[in-house]
Amino acid sequence: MTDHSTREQLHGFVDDLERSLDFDIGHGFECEDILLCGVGGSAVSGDFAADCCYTESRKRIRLMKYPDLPSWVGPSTLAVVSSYSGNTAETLGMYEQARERGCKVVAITSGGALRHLAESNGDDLVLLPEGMHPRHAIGYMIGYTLSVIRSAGGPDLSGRIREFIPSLRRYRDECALADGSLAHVVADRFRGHVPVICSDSSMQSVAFRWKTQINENSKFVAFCEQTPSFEADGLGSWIEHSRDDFILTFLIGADDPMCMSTSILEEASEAVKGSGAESIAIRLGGSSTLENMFRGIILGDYISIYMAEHRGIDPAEVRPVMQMKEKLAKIRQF
Amino acid sequence: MPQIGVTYKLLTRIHIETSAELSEPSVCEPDRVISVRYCGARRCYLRVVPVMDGYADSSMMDAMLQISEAFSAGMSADVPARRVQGVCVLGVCPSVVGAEMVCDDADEFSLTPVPVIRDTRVPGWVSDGTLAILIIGSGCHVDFEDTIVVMQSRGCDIVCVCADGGTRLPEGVARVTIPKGMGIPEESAFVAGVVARAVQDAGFTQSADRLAEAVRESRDMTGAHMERAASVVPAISGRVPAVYSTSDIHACSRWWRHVLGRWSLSFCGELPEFDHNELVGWSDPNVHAPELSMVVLRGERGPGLVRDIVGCMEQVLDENGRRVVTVDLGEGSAMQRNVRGFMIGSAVGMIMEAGE
Repeated sequence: MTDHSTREQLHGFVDDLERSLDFDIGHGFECEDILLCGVGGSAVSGDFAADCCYTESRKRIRLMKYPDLPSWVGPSTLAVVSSYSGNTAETLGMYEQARERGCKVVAITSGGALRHLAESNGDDLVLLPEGMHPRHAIGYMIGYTLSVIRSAGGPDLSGRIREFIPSLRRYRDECALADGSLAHVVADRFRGHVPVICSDSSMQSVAFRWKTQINENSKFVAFCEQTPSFEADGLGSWIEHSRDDFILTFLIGADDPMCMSTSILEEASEAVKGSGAESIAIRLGGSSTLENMFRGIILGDYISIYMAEHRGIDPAEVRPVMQMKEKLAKIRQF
Repeated sequence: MPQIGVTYKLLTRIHIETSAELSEPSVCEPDRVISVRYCGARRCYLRVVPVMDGYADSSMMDAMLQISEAFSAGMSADVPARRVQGVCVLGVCPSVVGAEMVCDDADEFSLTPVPVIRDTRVPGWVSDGTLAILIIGSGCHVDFEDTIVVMQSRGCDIVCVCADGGTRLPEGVARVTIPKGMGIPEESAFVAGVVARAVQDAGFTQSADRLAEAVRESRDMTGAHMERAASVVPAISGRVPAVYSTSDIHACSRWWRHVLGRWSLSFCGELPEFDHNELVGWSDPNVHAPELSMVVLRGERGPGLVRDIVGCMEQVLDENGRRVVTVDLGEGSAMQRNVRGFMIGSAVGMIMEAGE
């Protein structure tokens, strides 16, 4: 069953975000590219931040989840290296390479080897609170990552996000926490299905978050898709090969300068419904794409917890990941 | 690759086609030892082709050769060469995967990235001095009019790779026409060639040279690709496949997902990210979806962390009762591994189609 701390951490997402939004690293960064390095729960914040900044950032922002940095990474790159534990092998590999290539480096971590290395090497270090599940520290990590991007000349989104913080709390209470809430309804609908989350490309990080949270918390396989590419390559397959053990879930946001294909998403939703395939459409109802992205995180996280509770399992336990780490440590002699 | 005068032991049935002056064609069964003279060119003294269900499938070999030629045609296309400071590729159709091969190549060798974005929105950093390549494959109904307006307003050099007559382009947008009659595999190969040529001619990196080398090597391995594909098809037919590859060759898992989508729902993803979240879900029996099947395209470059990670991942999945179909793409550059993955994936599609 979900322990108290998991529930507390989920509940604290909006507060964590609010606390970290105005973080100031104390100086600017001259750079051409911003590389957001991390894997798993520590990469979500980078993915999300990159989506938030997509249309407005004058710097190229690239997510990196692979421990072999591209050739073009060098002294004109700001590498933001995130690992909640500070001990993730892939992320430490990226940190080492970023240092070797002469990048400016910011480390975001709660401790571990990454903290030690950053302190020893005099890199900028942003400390996360200890004692959290890595994937539930996302409120802090998003706020800090956006703050670092701002310091590097990226867009300042803090004011806009602050404006809808109260709305996010209400959304959490009404759509996630209340008895019979939307999160409970969707979790119940997902039972016995493989969820496939489809969003507009402006929110692809949110759909990816749903996929990873369902995998990790409820221990079921899930996938994600994005329009407009899903419309061009994927929708046909759903209509022709629909299965009743898979459920396509459309996350529908708002039409605004950040998002250009809500109508494509709506049309895809209608096309799939008309084909008889299992599907649901969730309208997030926020005032902007940016707000809907945060609403999507809240809703998806709670859905995954409720799915775990339906199964009577602990969402926090991730035995296969621990098995991986043990095997890797033996081979690599960490 | 088979060499003249060398003796081989066969692992699969082959059909040997000879010239009219020589003996009749014959079929050799597996485990036979024969001496072959194999040539990948069209006019062969002796040609060896795989046998499917008793019939020499020279049509598949020809189709594979056509894909190779489409790569070359793309590299020979007249792409307006410009000296620019950056490049960005946008598109949403399946053939964008060709550009993604060049993106992976640029990550390995280039001092300038080649971002490939499956979106119609133009990123904020795209500006004057950017070579903006738009891919609009045949059958793509997504509207790029606003995309072009934004690119032009920012002063980009715009090249549109599109089917002839399919797209009206405003003045100032250069067109590279996708030859008529190309299927999606050939179109994707053509796109790879065009983008590689554009990137090389813009002075960023020798993508076209590496693509040409990878295609030459792959052409010589066509028989081996068909064999590998034939061994994979039984394991994934009738199932719901999800295909994973390492992030440095993400193009090939995307391609496999597209190919397999013709027969089933299909999905793709990247390693090692999978090991931090999806591994948990896949280690569960998922009894509500018994046809779920995982395919891993393995081709880690050199020894090291990623090779160890993928090896441990396969062990964990096995220990948790999850069988994985592994396809070995060998070693080499990202371009070589992506082209091999692309060709084997295309062969899988042909074999599945032949089996319909």
